[in-house]
Amino acid sequence: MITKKEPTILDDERKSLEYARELKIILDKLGLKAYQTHAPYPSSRGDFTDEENARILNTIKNSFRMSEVVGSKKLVVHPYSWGNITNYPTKKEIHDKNIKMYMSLLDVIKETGVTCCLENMFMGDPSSKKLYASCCSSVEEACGLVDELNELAGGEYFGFCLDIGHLVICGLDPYNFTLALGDRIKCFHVHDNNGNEDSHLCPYLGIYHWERFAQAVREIGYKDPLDLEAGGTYINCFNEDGMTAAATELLHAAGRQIIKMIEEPDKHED
Amino acid sequence: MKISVASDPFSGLEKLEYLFSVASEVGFDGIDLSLGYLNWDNIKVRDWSPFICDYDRSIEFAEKVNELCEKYNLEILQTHAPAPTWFEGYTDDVNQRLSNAISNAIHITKVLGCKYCVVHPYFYVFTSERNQTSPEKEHDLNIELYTSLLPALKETGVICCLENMWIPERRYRGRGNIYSAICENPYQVNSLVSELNEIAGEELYGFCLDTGHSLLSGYDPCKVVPLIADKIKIFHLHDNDGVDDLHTFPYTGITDWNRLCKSIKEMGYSGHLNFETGGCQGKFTPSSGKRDRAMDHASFRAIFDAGKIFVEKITGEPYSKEEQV
Repeated sequence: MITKKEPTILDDERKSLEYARELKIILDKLGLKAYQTHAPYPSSRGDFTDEENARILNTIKNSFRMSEVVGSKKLVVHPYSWGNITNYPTKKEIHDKNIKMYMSLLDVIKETGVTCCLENMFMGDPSSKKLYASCCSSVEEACGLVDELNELAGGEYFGFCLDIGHLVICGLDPYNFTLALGDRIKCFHVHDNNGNEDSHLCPYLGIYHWERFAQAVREIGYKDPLDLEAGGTYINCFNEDGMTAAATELLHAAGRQIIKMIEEPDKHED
Repeated sequence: MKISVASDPFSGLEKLEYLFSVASEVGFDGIDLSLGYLNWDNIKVRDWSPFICDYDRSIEFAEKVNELCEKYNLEILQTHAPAPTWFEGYTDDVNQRLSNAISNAIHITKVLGCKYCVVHPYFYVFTSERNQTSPEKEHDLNIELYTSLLPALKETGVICCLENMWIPERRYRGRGNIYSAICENPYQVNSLVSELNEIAGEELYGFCLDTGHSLLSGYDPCKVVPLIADKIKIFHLHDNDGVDDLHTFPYTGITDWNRLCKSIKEMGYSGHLNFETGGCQGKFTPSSGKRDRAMDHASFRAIFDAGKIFVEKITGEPYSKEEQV
């Protein structure tokens, strides 16, 4: 997360690339691959100056370069959104800002060959704490924005990262959403919650019905890796010495169980 | 200090064997054997007779569980009697059958070589219905319930452990607030357990503190522990979000486990640590009901690893399997 405070290594292209090279060495040593990466967020803020938003954009551009170094072909870049329901910009303002922001990344997207993935977002009412759908949390807006960007870019440079947990808290059905987005989906953020909070739980620790997700993934023919973005509340496990291995194993087992349901719907259980 | 896990939601010998094999593989020392939750409708049917209602079948079941324990190198460290334990308004016959089933659970506990059997106190479940039981009547019914078990307790030497309970408020579309019920108040625990032991003339009653239930009811389990330290024999350790009785594993809810372990350490507890985390095992079950061994292994490991952390926090020494022998 980018704040107004101290610059990070992401502000400096040279340091970013050095860091990415070090990460790649660690990944190779462990036999792991970076299947997808996540750019700093928010991508743009209404309460930031133009200069500050330009700084954020620079960090996102460096994130593309880092993605290329670590071998990731997909970078998730949050759309410009507004986390707070008060003073929410108009739909047109959000659309126009997003077209401008994403198109300003086109050069680095082409340079690196990394697909820029938009993500479905939510916003909150600070007084009631109720969460609502926000940018790209309607099928029409998500599909429309990806298609418009690719048309403007003259090729398939933009895709979508479908965040299942965000849909669940907005009361949206991931099955219908997945089918509607179809091959625009380049990657997922798979995590669970209680329907009220964006708690980023390990699948099965929340309320979502994962067999329905598996059915949707199977129907669209998605074959790429599933990313478990369970690092929010679930990180309590990781914060306690001695729990990291067990928490990681649980995440992995949950992911494997979902993959079994996708690949072998009738045989996924022992 | 040994670590055990509750058998719920695994029931029946075939599923128990599966549970025992996974639990043993992960490293657990023992099992908290759940002897079943009785169906509220079935219990009214005169000829409904699960094994727990029959002494001979109960003993036969216990012997088969003993074979599983030997096969998988596990102990039964505590049991859980059928619940609910009493129905207000039903015939004496129904409640007598319940009392017999609980007595059989106590005998099963003895055959399993286990010392503790948890028996829920009677409490009125729904707050919104009329004719709620008065505190006085609730007390008297519980004295009646628990003393009806005295012959079995005296014969077996098993300690009957009461448990702290909660009540759901269901007036608003099936959901609502949770209120504390009997034995959430630590002073009531002290009074009720002492009264029962006085009637028994020996220490045949103790307490199983359910730390998740305390949390739900708004009682800080860390503050409850020292107030009932001499009554606590065993625990139901599990986590939740403070709203629902999730029975999920430590660190996936809101319990402050560091503080709780400190309380348990300070009370001088030297028994085993038992996790009643059937809620998360239930969640990891596909809707077909068939289980994924890797998933179960991973979830049991998360519980066991939390147990190891707690053992170290409580005893000051790392958990060691060898020391348990």
